[in-house]
Amino acid sequence: MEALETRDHAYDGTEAGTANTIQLIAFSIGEQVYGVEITTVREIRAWNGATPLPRTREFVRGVINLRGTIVPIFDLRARFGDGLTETTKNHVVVVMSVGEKWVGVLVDAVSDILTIPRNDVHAVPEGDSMDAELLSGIVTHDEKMVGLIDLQAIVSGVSMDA
Amino acid sequence: MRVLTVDDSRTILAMLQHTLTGAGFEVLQAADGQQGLDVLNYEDVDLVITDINMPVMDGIEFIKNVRATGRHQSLPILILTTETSQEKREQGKAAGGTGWIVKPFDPEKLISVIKRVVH
Amino acid sequence: MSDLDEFRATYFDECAELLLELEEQFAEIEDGDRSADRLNAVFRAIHSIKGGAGAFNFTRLVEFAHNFETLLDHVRDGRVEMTEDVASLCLRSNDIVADFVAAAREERELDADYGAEELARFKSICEDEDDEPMEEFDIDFTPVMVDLDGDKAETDDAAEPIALDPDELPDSFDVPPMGGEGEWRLKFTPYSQLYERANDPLLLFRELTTIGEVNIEARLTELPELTAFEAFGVYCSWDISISGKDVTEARIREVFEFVEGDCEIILTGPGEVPAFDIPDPSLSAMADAPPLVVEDDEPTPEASAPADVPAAEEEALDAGLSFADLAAELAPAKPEKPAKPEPEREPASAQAQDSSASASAKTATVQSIRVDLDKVDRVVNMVGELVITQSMLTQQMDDNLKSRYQELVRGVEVLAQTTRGLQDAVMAIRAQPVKSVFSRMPRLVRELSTKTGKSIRLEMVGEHTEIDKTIIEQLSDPLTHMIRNSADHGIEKPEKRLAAGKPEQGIIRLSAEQAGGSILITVQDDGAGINRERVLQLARDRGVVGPDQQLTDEQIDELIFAPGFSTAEALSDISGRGVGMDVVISNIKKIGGSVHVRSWPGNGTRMQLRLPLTLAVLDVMLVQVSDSPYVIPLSSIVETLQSRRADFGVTPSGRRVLQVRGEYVQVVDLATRFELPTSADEEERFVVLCEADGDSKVAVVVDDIIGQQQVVIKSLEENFERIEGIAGGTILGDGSVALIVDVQGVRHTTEQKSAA
Repeated sequence: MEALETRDHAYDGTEAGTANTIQLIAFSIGEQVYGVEITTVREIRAWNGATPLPRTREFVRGVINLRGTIVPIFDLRARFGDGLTETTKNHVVVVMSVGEKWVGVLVDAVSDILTIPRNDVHAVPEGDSMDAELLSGIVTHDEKMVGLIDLQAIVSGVSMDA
Repeated sequence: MRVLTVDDSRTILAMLQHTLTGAGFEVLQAADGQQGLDVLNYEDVDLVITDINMPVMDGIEFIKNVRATGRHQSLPILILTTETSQEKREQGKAAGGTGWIVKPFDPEKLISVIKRVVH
Repeated sequence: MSDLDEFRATYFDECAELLLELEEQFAEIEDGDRSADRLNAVFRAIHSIKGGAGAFNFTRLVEFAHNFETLLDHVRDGRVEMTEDVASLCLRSNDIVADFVAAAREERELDADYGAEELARFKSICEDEDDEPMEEFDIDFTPVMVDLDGDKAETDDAAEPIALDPDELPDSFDVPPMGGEGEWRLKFTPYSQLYERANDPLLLFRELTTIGEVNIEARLTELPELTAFEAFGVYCSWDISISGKDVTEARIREVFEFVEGDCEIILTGPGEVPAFDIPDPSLSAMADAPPLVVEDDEPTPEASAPADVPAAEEEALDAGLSFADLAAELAPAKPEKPAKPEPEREPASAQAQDSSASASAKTATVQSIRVDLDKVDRVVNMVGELVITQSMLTQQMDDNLKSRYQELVRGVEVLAQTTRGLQDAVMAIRAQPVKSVFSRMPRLVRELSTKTGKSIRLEMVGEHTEIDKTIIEQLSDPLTHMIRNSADHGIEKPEKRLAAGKPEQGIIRLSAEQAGGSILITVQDDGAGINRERVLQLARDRGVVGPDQQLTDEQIDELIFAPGFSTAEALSDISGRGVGMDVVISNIKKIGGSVHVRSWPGNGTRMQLRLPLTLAVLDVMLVQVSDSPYVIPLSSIVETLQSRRADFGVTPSGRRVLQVRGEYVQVVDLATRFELPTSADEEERFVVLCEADGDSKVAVVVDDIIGQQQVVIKSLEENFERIEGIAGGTILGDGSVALIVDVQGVRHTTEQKSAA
């Protein structure tokens, strides 16, 4: 239940970079670094378990109670096809808004806040990899590749029946 | 410029609100005369538009009460009513009404009538 | 949605409320209450419906409502007596207004002669009273400027939409427009009441400039010495000249429309010689001075009519006397007329009723505000959280803590109490009296009486019983069905009743009462009761009951709620329509309620709904499946039993069934259903026997039963999506989420799967 950092509406477009830059929250899964625009992030909290949802895909870890609202948690590692995350108390849930909905993404750790020139965002190379489907772009930071998460893609296709 | 609209019909209140905000007025609303008086107690307005036929406190009583408070002696009050029968309008005037608007009202006409009673 | 659509939506919303109120009021009037309050409320509601209808050009609704309103106006001020005949005309007319509103909403046209009979009756009743056709004073829909001229008042514009363009307005002053380049001269002398009514000469002058070239000179001759100067004295008057090709007398007069009677206006047309160069100073001092002096060849008689019409003459005015007659009658009384508004001026009866109505309304009416339901729900949610947090706190206080911090413990106890109080109070905000649905029923019963040719009286009890708004919204259909059923199948035809030694008129009694944490809604009739023999026969014919199955009387009675079952041999126009009483049961189950029926052959039938007080809090049984918590609504649970004592069997098609009291019940293992691994010993598991839709049962198998509690329902779809078999989520005392089992849903999908 302990929130590490609350970002409830603290960031709006003006603080989140200028017309020419974007600000990202970067988080890691294993060696890989991913990022989402800081404006979409609502809250970052420690992993404290989730109630499993029946008849959903493996990467849906279940639902948690976020101050009275039920929020689904997606295991990002599993979403990228690398199996379920072996969770510990040190794992982190990043709660973000996707359209009208709030969703949580389970990651290993939050690593940094990055300011990136818009021009440095590159398209994801075509291919049959999961990356092309789930990333909206790629940026380079400190000579490391950071994948920009396409939230809409992450949360689609969750039902077993689908 | 702030206008208090008093009418028990939500339809009429909504239409007034639309027309008046469109013309740059700030609109306050009340559903009957008593509520209207309550609003005037703590809000300053430049104009009142009130219906006559209302529950709890009707428009005539409302206007008399408004005029009875020294603070609102020069507050323009327009009577809004379907009653074009001289009777209600004259009652409203006698109570201290400044002028009248006949429902259903045409937005342009409404604004031109308002211009006749406020600066 | 365009603005107009939005207004229309608001209007129809409002009409729905007004019609509801009218139903209530008329139900009382039908029962003999003819009090002024009642009649005023009815008048106001019809008036409001008419007012909005005018804005949207619903001409037929306007016409009907207008004439209805006129009748009501006559009734409330005593000109027409509310006889049984008039009352029943009003009741019928109320239904017709509702139909016109519905037709307007659905944008369809009713038959041309619909309501014509009632319309004619309004007119003839009011005419009898007035000796004059009421159309003559049917001027509600004449344009903004009302004709003061007696001989022009005959225009019947009732059905015409209002003309608002000033240029299209008829000339109100009966003076031929005099255009041209000439110069109009105007002497304008305000009286003090012009200022008292917040009119401002400056604004009038400003408006004058929009019609022509204006030249204004102030006359300051009346200004007193400074020592004699009164702060609110009126000393200034103006000489104004207006010229331009669009200047007409009508346009000038229109500018001064609001201040007529509050000032002296002497208007001289181009080429005319002003009659008065110097105004008589006594005129400006006298408030009762003739407000208009028209400098014209034919001074119109109404021009000298005072703006204030005294009370006694109001009736004459309504009765169609011309202003000319009036003015003549009034002439001697004129000098006594003070400028100040006279409170006693209004028509005695109507005004007395009005003020007594508002006085009593002030004391009797509960003050209320309109609040967005979303806001209330937010509070409900937050209180739900508070309840959970509070119970978490309580749970975490172990004995050690309790003995060490007694003050803290007491504080938490007080907190618990306050929280419960707060929860009740918040729930009460969502609660509404059931009369909002009950009040629709009298009309239904009237219609049913007519259609069936039966004489039926509806009695209503406990309509002030309060229940959650959401539940009320779900009540209308089931209640309609139940009452239809009673009228159609319960109450007998008059001759049959007489033969059975009963009064000719049948009674349907609709009642609501609170019983503990539930609301009981009962529909009881004094009809023939359920024909059990026929019901059972039909049920066997339709395969609802097996040929050898023996049923108790109660079980037979309950069959009328079985899916697709209808006791009418032919689907009647009334109860039929392809849906049976099973709709009642499924609607009621959806909101966590139950339905029971009892019948006494020859003496009637009673159908009873048991409903939860609120939907926001659900009583549930907390169970465990594969280490995850699930909850099952208590209202759907019949009983629970241990697996090892359950009598399981397998159907020839391989489906697992539970045998309980001679019934075979479908079995749904939640672990299997939700594809969850379970390590629980089969013998140690539990069977929860639940009622699903249409009186059928389902046996839900779970790993363990943990206990009962109250929970707040949370949406799963708000941030995720619907999952088959899950009705939503809830938050437990430890802050974790438990899923709510959708008893009907788990059963349904399992059937589909096994069928596939």
